[in-house]
Amino acid sequence: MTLELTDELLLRRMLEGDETAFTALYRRRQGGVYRFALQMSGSVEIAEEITQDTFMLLMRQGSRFDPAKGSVSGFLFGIARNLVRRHLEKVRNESWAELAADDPVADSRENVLDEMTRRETINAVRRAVLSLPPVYREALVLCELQGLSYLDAAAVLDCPVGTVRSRLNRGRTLLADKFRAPAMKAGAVAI
Amino acid sequence: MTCAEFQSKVAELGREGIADAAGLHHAELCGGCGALLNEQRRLTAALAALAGDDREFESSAGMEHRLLLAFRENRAAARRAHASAKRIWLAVSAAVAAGVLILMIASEPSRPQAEIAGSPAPRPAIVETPAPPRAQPPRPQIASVEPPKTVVEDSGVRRPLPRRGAPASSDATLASQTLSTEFLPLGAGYIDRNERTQLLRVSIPRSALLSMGIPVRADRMDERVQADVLLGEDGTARAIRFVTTAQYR
Ligand SMILES: [Zn+2]
Repeated sequence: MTLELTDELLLRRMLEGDETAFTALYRRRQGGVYRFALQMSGSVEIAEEITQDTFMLLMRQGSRFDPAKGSVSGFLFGIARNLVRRHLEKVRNESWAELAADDPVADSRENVLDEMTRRETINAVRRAVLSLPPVYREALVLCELQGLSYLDAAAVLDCPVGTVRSRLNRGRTLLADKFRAPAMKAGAVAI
Repeated sequence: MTCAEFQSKVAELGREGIADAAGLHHAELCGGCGALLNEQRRLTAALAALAGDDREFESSAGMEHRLLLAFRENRAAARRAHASAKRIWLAVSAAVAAGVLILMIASEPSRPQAEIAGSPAPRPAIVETPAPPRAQPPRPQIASVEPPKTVVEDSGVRRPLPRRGAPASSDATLASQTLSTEFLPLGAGYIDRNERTQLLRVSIPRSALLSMGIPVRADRMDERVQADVLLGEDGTARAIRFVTTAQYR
């Protein structure tokens, strides 16, 4: 029987110089960090860079981890989130402006999600998520795509649980709006 | 439930499938709100599909190797920094200890009491003390200290003047019989508040003061002065002060 070491223990050993512990922690958590960065940036290169920088920072600043404030996984998401934000601020004047623009996914079909193939749906949702303002996007990526609880997401985003909830709801409303045919847009459905 | 109330919670209803009876009832009766709920449910399914599709995505195979190299380099750099700091500390401690040893050796022959009494040479007086620098760690201004001020008395003996606020010796007898300068830091001069210190009374030839950067008149080189050396727990000298003896009472 092999006991799986907790993230916390692996981090502690890593900080003491244990290479095996670092490798184990990296293998366990790199996927989530990479996917978060990918879903936030839409770029494989950026996701790769952010994942690498996240673990580099963990080596140097891992001692700042405070278990009272959340999990090691949340700590890693927090580092990655700051790196993503820095990246987004840097590119805001370029591609970010286009991504953030209101670019509805809907076409002439009444509701795109009803009629798309699975692949089409996935691609369309990915683009729609990337077009959300970062503040809603990160709540949505963490809670919907990374499966974090409101509480864990609040620790990562450094905000109250209620704020996570409202950002997520707003993000979902914006997202739904993008898939809606023009005739079904908000206002038209309100009775 | 009104449409506005329903719409304020429709995202959560669609996400979590909460069995909100009132909400579901409204969605059944109200076509527009029912459509919104269905929309949110489809969105939940679409997001789950995206999450499932992304589940296989990972960073490149080469990254683990790159990070491992960086990890080793970080460790090596930390070890180098640690070893370097240790070497510097050892060098400073050794230099200070050597200085004190020289001072003590230089003071050995001048023990007239021992010679007159014909008794075994007394060891330097060691006074365990809650040393003043512990309660009042060496302050920056005494690092660039001037030589102790002196006055010339009628006898021609130069007597060090205690500085204003100079800490008195903790030894009651000494305090009543001696005047002293402030402690002058030696080496790093740092003393931990919790460190136990010892005070060592030594007699030093004035010529030895030159090595500490304290000017000495050429015609008084042969005279001796008394000093208290403050020793840290590790035996290194941390500070020194000059004292006058009972003859000035
Ligand atoms: Zn309604």
